Amino acid sequence: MNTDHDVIARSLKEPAAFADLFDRHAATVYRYAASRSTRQVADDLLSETFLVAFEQRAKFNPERGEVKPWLLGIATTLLRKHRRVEARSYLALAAEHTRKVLSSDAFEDTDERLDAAAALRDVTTRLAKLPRGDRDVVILFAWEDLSYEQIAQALGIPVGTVRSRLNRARTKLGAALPNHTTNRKEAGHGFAGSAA
Amino acid sequence: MDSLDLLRDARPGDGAASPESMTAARAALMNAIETERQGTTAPARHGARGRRTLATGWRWAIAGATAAAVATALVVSQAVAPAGTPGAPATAAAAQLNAAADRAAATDASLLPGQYRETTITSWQTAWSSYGDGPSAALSNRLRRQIYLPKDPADDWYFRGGPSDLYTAYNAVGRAMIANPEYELSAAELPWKARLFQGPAGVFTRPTIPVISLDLRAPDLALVGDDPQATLNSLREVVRADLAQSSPDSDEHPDASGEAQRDPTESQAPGEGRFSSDEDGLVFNRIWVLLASGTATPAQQSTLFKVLALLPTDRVSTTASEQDGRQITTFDWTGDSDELSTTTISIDSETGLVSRLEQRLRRAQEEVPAGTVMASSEFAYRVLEHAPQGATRAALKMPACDAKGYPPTGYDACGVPEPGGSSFYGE
Repeated sequence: MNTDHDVIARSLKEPAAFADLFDRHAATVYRYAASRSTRQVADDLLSETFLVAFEQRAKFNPERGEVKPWLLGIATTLLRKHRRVEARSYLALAAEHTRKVLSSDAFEDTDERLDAAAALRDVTTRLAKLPRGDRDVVILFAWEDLSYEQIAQALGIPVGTVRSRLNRARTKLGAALPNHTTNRKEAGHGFAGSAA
Repeated sequence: MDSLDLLRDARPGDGAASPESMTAARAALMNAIETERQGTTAPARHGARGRRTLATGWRWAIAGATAAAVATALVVSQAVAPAGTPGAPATAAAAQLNAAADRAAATDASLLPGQYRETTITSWQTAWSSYGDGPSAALSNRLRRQIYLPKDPADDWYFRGGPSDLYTAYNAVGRAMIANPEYELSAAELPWKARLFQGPAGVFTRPTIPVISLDLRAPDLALVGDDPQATLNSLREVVRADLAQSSPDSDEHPDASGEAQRDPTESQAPGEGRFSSDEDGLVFNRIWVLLASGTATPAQQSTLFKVLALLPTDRVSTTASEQDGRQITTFDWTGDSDELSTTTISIDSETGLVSRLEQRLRRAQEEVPAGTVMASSEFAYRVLEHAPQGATRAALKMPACDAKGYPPTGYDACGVPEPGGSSFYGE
């Protein structure tokens, strides 16, 4: 089977070969875009990402990494124009989790579940407030399972910067957690008071 | 629990694209691929021209193509025999092209200051994919575009466009093309999600992709003046420069055996094999693209018809017909018996404007039946008393983001790429 690198190389002479990359990675790119925006925006971003990638394929350097991070890097840059939508999507994500918790029929561990929902709401709220560069790193790491090196490739930054951004983000995102994890049993339904 | 673990657990799960989204995105990509394949550029070797490819893609998307389902009542079918010896102009066709040119010039003069000429272009384009020894698949998609040209081309232009809104996809099963119902989408299910843009003299920056500018003016339009011979000379110069640039790369010019073995589903360039020289075939391609773009004014169409009349070929025939009450003259450029496709330009006899462009397979190619329309565009014109309303002004340059990083009022994009950021912003 041809590797992604082979496909890009072949597409320089046979442009139609590039469609193979779409078939391999479109679902990933779409999921990533949708996780950070709305489905409508993701529709556009999916198309735009591959158009830009096709246009830029001659510049792709296989020695610098793989195709998936490259595509996600393009999508990340395109996402910058949808900041407001992105912020709302995180709030919607938290709301959706809360709704699921509250709609559950199970009474067991209700406190824990409610606390987890509140913690998630805190984290997603803080995620939306992170500097854009930090947020890009966090999401590529946590949701796309990219390695530090792949994130560096996707965002065009040094690996050391990835580490420092991730550490900084971890600190900022985690600031709210102890309220929920340590006070859970004592607080009971106290999540309401600690909710963001 | 680590905050990143918590975030990982909260990963949105409902992220699958709909078949419509996937189809639309793939179709857009295939359009860009087809555009590049129609051209002569290879981005690996021609970086500067490579950057223009997507803009050209838009033009081809605008132009694209058509299998428009308009009932054509053929009342007269008078094929004009190829005239003269090979290399001589087909005089009958040339005379009709010149006559159409005169009518187009008169149509151009009829537009008054303040008025806009609306051109609605409905295109169909079919693209085949074939990977190694695997199965082929075909996708036909419809694109609709509207371009509004003012009396003075230096004034603001308007452009309404959106994604493809109707698709027909085929799977290859054995040697038969089988329509895939999953991708049979009706126009009623997919409303045209077009947006109206306004930009100076046809140059837009796509608000959603600021890195890519949309220049409705095909670069060659600047070469189209009043003098057809001078225009032809200019176009030939451009073509020669392109040929000179690409000729050292022998692998881009397969030999005869390689040509015979190429993917038979590849569409053929419109002018290939139809003219006495490769150079004129490429000139024809450029004229085809200009006409297909919908951005050539009637005066420019007039000049281009005269240029076509000057191109030496004995492989053009004309047919008169009636379509929706309009008299249409159709010019078919057909190569020799080995040529893959027939290229057609239809001109409204009353207005002298292009009414339809088409490329149709002459011979069956593996699973693709003969007669299949590979690409076609249908044109409809209307004069508006004023500019269309409700346009988004597209900027030539991105406006600066505000202190919070948001676009200023009236824009939906902003900013300049960060140095050292994502690399696709380029050079």
